[in-house]
Amino acid sequence: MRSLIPILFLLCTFYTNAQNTGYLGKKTIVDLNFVGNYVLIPNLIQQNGGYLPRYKNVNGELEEKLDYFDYGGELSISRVVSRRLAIGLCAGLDTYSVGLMKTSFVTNNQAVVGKHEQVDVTGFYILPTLSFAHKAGALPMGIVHEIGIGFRSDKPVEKDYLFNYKPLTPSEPTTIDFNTTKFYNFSNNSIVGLPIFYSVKFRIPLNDYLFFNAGIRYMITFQPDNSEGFGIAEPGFFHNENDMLRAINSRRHTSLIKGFFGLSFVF
Amino acid sequence: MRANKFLILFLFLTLICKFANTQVDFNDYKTFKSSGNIPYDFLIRSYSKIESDRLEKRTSLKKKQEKIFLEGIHYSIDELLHSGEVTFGDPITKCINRVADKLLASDKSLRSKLRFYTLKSNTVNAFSTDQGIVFVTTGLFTRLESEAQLAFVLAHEISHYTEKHVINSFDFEQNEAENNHYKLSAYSQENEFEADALGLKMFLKAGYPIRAVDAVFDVLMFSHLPFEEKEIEPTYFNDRDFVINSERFSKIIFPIKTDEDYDDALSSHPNIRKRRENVENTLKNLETNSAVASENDNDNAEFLELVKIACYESLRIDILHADFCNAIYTIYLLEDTKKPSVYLERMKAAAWFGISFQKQNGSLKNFIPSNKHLEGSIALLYDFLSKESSDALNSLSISKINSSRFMFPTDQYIASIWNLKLASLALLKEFDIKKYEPLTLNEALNGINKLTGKEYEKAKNGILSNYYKYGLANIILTEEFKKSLDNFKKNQKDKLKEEKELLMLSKKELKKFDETHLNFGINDLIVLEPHVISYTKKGIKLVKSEKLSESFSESIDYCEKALGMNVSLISSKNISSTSIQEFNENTLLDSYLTQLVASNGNLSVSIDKEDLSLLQSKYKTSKLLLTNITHTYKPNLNILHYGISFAWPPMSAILIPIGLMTGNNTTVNYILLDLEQEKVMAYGKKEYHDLVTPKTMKAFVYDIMNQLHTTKQ
Repeated sequence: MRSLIPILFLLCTFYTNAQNTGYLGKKTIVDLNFVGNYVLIPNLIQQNGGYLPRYKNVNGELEEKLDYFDYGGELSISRVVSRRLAIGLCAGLDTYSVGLMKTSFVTNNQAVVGKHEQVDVTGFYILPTLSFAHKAGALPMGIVHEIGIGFRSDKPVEKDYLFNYKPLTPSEPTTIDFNTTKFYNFSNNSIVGLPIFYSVKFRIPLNDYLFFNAGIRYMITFQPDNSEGFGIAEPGFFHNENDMLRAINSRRHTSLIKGFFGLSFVF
Repeated sequence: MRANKFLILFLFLTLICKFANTQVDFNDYKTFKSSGNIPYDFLIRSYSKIESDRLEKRTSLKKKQEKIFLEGIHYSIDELLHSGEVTFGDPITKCINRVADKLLASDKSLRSKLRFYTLKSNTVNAFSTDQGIVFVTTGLFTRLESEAQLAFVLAHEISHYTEKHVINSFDFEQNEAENNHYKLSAYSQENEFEADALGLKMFLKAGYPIRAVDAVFDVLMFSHLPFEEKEIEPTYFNDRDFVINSERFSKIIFPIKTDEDYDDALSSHPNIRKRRENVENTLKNLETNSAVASENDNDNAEFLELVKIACYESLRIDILHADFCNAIYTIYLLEDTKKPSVYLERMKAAAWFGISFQKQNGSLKNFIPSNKHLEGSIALLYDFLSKESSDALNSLSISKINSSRFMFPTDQYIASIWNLKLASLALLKEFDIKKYEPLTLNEALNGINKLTGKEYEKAKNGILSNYYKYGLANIILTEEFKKSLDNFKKNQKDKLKEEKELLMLSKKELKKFDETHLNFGINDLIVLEPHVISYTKKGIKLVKSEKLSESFSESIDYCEKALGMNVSLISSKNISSTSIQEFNENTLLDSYLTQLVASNGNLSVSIDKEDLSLLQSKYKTSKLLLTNITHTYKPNLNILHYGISFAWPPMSAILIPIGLMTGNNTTVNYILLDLEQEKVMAYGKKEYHDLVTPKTMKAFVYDIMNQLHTTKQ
């Protein structure tokens, strides 16, 4: 009887079997994902009197307003080399925005205080990756751990940001024309960093060629010193050369956990 | 005149046809198979039946209870229907249906709702289901003496159906594992009385004689005993040269207990005394004339032919289920020493081999009732087999199998059993040819005649206690035997060497072995539709499990195309009403598996070897793949996970999802069998932390098929 088959199995000694790779023999995987995170920590810092306030342009006026979601996209291509290992390449784009300091000093030691619209930043990263199926898994299905180390470049978006500055000490004489001076000019330089990431994702097949995937990723970006020539068009008018660097760094570190979901194509 | 001649010829031909339908070759008995169009009960999936009943509002239960009830009745009964043990369209089932037609001649509507099938089981039972199916076991059929007795049994079961006793006694608290057809037919004693009373009315209305009812109660009272009581002569077990010391047989008489008025407090059925009284009371209240209808002798002859078929079937069932002790007694009952039957000799050879093997591995005691339950002539056999040593039964089995071989020297089945015996002797360290004496028992006893007094007694006792060493010289002490045994020993040595080498493999080599042990380069394969079972905390997800099993054929189709293999999926559910051949093939394989499991996957020769050969010819392969897929879910989270997550919250974003996702445990068990050589080629399991869906199942199946298709480098 069919119901005796389980008993038959119990009577045998079991071996595990670990040959064959891929999903139905298909070994190349292309993941197309939406990446995002809830801006939790920067918002918490901000709400507790954070030193990087964030303002948005609301009908031509600067209003303190928080972003709640950062988002981006990611494309990765990998090739299954054994039952539990795949090698690939991942490239992605993050978008987020950073706030700048309320109070800064210009080079003639004049302190200015005010508001500046959040600066939009676009981050691009590319990393070779290694994917490991979880114990008792078989790529690309199921739970997959990924690690990668590569290259990342974050660059503020050039546009006319709204700002509103005035002298910190109103009585102090000043030569700055607060109406016309642009306190930030962005050069073409971008911040380059060394990202390391770990992600855990699971893939569920939808049909013979398509999977749904979702997961969580940690990405830490190590920053070599890159203060030279950043964002300074006219020395003497900028805050501190490293303001943007610090802002971006801080933002990246407080948003190192991201979630993602998307589709995986196998062929 | 001419018209008369034609009439006589016509009647003669009709008689021949009628007789031909039940004419069976008992010399070379073949189990009866299903025939005709496959009934609806077998074709529709359980979840469809449940849905249909639900829409029809067949029960007046509340939604939750209705779900439990419908799943309970359909899944348990459908499992029985697809067990390979239920037949339709065969002579016994046709007879049952004819009797049902008679009983319900005046109620066509009720008749159209009921279906009757035969269940190949040695349990003496008949039961009806809420769906309107009535099963009659072959075990019950072996006990019947007339159609009238069958009629009362059927009338009783039909009454259970009409009075909805299944739903009235259904236990809504039990889980799926407890829901089986035995439990479904465990009614209250009041229900049994009611079924007896109503059944009696139906029975008498159809014109059957009342005396048959009493006989049915006798059948029930002695249902625990074999279908016939015949005293065993100890000399029955002797062969030409091999003689058993008669002192080995107990002098105790094991009486048959005939207590009708036993304590039935814990029984679902009232005791026989109460049931007889209930019937008597019902008769008194009946207006119906209980006149005896005479039974046509010719009809009874036909009926008894069917009973004989059931008896031969019971022997087959004993062998399938490795109940060899019972099989020996059944052979004893059926045998005609003046006209040996090749079928009975085959079964005898298989049974004696099985008894010896079970004695060696200690499992024989599982088939022998305890002393307090020993009754009747068969008890002598049980007593003898339980007390004899492993060596004695070994010798007895050698003698018996050889006798069968001698009687039918060209029979392939008996020859296979003999080879199996040799193989088992090759494995047995204690088996030493030198232990066996060149004389027969009588020759040895005659040889000590010159001794007297205590010396004689001592010598005699010595010979009699070692009786099993005598009388086998013509078998064991021959060059042919020694040569065959040596060959098997050599094969065994090679096999053991291989197994030893396997145990000494390094981790890396073992991993390599694991990866390649399925690489047989198979192109043609038979696959049996698997059981897919999806468990939750509350039990089995029956509907989901069934739908997953159904989608298995998709996976097979894909693998066939993708790998260029020729895969034949045998399923008893995925067929059309005219696919009777496939249905019977499924039954055949189920029987094969039953026998394999009962023999613990060890040495056995299929009793359907011939039919299996035909199957292999049809599908052009001898390779059979069995799979079984189970899924459970239990989150893989423990106090460590929670502790780390609490201490470092960002880690919870990783640990908790992994813990939840790895809670999925899917195990795919597989066994690859070679039907020709009747051996297990490979077995194993694969484990995944994935859900079971039709897509993931496709991947699991592809994984195994691909390995089977690949040739070892």
